[in-house]
Amino acid sequence: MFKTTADLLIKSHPLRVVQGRFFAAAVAEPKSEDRLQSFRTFEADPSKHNTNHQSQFYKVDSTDKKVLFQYGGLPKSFQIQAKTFNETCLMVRDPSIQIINHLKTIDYTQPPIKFVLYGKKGCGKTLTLAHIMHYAYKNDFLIVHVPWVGNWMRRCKDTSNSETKPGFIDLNIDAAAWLVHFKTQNANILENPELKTTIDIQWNKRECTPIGSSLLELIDQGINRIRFASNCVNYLAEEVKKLSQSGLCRTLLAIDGFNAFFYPNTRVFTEKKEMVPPSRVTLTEGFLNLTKFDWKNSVIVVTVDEIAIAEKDQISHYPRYLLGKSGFEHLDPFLPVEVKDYSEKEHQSIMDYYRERKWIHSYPGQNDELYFLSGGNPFRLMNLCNAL
Amino acid sequence: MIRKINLLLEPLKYLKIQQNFEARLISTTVNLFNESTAERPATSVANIKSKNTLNKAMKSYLERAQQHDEFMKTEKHQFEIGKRHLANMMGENPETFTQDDIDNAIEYLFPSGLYDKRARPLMKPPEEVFPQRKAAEFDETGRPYHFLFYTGRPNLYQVLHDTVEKINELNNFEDTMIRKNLQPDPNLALELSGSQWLDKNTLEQKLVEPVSDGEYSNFLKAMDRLCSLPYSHKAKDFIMEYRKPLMSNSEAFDVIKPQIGPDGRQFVTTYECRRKRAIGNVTIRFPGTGKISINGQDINYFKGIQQREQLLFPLIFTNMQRKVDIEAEVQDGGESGQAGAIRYGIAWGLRSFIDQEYIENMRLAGLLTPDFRIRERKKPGQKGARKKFTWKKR
Amino acid sequence: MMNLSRNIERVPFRSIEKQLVASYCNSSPQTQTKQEEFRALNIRNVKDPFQTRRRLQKTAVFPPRADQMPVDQDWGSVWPGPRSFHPATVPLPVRQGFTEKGAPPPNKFNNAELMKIPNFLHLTPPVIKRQCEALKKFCTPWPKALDNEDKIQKNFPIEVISSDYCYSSPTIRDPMARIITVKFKLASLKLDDRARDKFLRLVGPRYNEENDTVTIVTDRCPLKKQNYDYAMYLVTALFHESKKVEPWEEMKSEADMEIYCWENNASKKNIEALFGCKSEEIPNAAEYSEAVSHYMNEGENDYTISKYGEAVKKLLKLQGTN
Repeated sequence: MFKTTADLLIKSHPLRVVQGRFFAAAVAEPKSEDRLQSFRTFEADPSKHNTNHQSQFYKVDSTDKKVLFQYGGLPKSFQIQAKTFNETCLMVRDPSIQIINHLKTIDYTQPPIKFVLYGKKGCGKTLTLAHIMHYAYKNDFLIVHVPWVGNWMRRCKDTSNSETKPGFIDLNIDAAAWLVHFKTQNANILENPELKTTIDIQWNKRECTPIGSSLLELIDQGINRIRFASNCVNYLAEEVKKLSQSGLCRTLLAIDGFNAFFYPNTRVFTEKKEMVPPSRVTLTEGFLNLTKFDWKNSVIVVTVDEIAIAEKDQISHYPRYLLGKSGFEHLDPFLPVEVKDYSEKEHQSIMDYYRERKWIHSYPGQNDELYFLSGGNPFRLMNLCNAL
Repeated sequence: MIRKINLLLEPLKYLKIQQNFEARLISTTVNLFNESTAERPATSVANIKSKNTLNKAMKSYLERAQQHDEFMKTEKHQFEIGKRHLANMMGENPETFTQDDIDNAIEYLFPSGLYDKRARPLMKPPEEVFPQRKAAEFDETGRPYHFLFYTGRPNLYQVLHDTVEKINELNNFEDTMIRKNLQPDPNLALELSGSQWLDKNTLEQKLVEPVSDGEYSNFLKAMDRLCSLPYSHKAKDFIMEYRKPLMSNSEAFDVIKPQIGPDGRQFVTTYECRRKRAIGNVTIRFPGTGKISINGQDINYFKGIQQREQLLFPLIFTNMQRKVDIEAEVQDGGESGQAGAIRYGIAWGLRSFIDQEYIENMRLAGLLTPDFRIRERKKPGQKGARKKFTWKKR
Repeated sequence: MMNLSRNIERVPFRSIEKQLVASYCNSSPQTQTKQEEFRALNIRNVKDPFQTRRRLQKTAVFPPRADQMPVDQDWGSVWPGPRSFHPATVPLPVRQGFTEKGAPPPNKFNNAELMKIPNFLHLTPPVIKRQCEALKKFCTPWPKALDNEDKIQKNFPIEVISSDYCYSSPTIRDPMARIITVKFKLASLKLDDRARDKFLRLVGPRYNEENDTVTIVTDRCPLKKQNYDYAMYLVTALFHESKKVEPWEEMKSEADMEIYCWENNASKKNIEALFGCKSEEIPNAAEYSEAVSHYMNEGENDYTISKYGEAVKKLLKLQGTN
């Protein structure tokens, strides 16, 4: 179709197109330098990003990426593309700048502020979250990051009945995997010897983590003894809360697909094949505990996403609908931040980026056509460009 | 001969004029055999004074013609009276009561919802109600007026005869012009693009004769031959008699003139754009910025890439995507049907804002041709609309 | 001309020949005398094929009455009431029917099509005018003071609609005449919010939200009077019932609320817990509460959600963007 359109245009205006081609050939080289300026920024530190960098790409350092997103946190299709492009570039967009500005200025002695990122499917909520996490990482936050709650509620690896709480379900393998993720993300901070547990934790008759042991030990206990992983997460959450409260660390709680904690139809089943609501999954407790107001020295950024719930209920992308009544009341008051579709400028920028990466062949009128075809939706644009 | 009588018609007036001349002719030659020919003119219909024979068929024809005449006379009278009655019923003045008034009154008094308008009650003058018949083609002695009578289709062959005559005439004229070393003036050349030949039915009506397929093709060939001559414009009147203008097509292709909306922008609305089962109305506003709204949503109304492409194609093709706003309301049908309907609507409406050259390009690209195809129903006893079940011997 | 005359000569000669042959073949004298008529072939040799049959006595049919009508007659008295089409009474040469090609549509006599369709012959414009004139004396003039809709609405808040039927069938009662429709504006009852809510629940779909009108139709009883009384009873009962407060109505809980009320919801408790004081003492709480109730009651859209965000920002004393 594209090809035909182009051909027809060429046929109807042979002269003009020839001119255009000539132009492209002659001017392309010097112009690319200017363009490079306009769509790329060499400011790799997210804490220095401001509105001047809007809709520009910055490169995420590969070591940072390895630490932050080794066990998830970036969408798969984006990761594949990043691998193809041989670099991970994030676009500086309005919602992330907003939140980063807030993070810089808020009073950390107050209870945490909750930011809720919402937006249509595939408009970049997760990548906005990634940008914010990168900022937090650079500023030595303790990052409590859940890559995708939907993985627990809708695609859990295994289930078992909780030993400590009757009627509850443990997702031990998932919990252990998350502990590993947490450990890698916060490896630097966890080395701090001051981060110690504040209570005795009796796992069973023989095993216990005594008071004053380091947080790393607690995490390792969860990773090594997978049976206790779920409980370990909850204890860890409690400990993180207390440590932040005491001012030993500053915490960023980043949860992607938070509304899955409130969507009643999960795919977690008991042995009798009964559906388990998220409120009866052990992991939920810890993270809902973290999203309460009763601690400080922290900030909470969550995303609500249609994809985290069953397809038949994907009616609206607004937070009240996705969170439900209980979820809304749990988070309220929160600051809703919308992640929008691409603006014209952002679209121009990403098209230039794709061209620079030699990902697409350009033809006259391509930008406009793709902008209309994708309706400004980043994910859709990415899919469209895959074929070009 | 007898067969021909079936076609007879009221010829009385014509007859009376011709009568004397014919009678005289016959009297010179036929009187000799009066003794042997036993027939006597005993007709009371035509006052033929001569004692010439009157053909029996002719006699019965004349009787029938007179009957028909009288019948028509009474019908006309009744219609006049009925018209006055109707005017009286409706409380109108009978002198100024027109046929339109009659039709309206009948529709009011006898409301009928029958689908076919011809099946509804009517009150028309008898000339319209009773079909026209061919006038008499021969005199009272049975001699045809027309020299081509025995071809069976005198009028048709008259036309062909005339055509050939014209052709010969024009050929002669061309010869003289060549001798004078003159070329035909191209400005005077016959312009036939805006019209077409009468179709078979119309020709039949015009000639009051049945015309077979072969005869019709002969007619077309002869006419084309005449038109192909370099000096055919000299026979323009004759040719144009058998052509009808292509009014409907050219009218439909006229570009709609944009209206001015309340916001001061021009707009054009195309109604009833169809594709498959979908039907929609498309409004194009100029100047615009490329906003698209379909049933209140943006382009995300269509999930698939194919549908969006369909929608954008006319805009991209004419380079208007940033210059107009589009509002479409579409219902029924599926995704691709709706997209196709809107595409047609956009292309049709865009003509008002672009050059003739672009319009021609759009036409060549097939954007201005509505797609009338719809799904054919499945037939019982077979697998699909056309596909049959697998044939198995047993 | 020569050509023509030659042809003419040829034709009589041929006919003479034929005549001669014919006369040789059957030289009976009758042929000469009966030349004028067509001869019939008598195969079975019946002596007199034309036996006189007894003719059926047909009763004389009068010519249609329409023929004698004067064109300036009073049509209303010729055709006073509704009736199916009759060809002899209707003096119009109407035709109806779809026929084969070339034939005219059948005329009005023996035409079932014309009898099948309805007609308005009894309701021609002059007749309607005359009937209106006749009915005029039964009408009273419209009160002059009631010149606009507001005054009508104020003085006569309730509207009762019924129909009377008059036609030439043996019964004077039409089953449709018993139906009573009562209409009134809900606002004219002056109910408070609770009573209004209850009233709406009681009337159900009889309430039209667009023009605030309640329409009650009663047709259960056989007589108009009874139906009217029943309708009035219904209106009275509805009014008083909606004003009554039943004991179980006090037990309405949060889940039964139709609208979101910030005062008794978790949102209020949340911010009280957050700030550790009463909601009245928190700055910007009023604006916040309003934003939340708007957000919950009007549904989610870009406008309400951005309002909510602004309110939260003020409440938490966040600086504006950038």
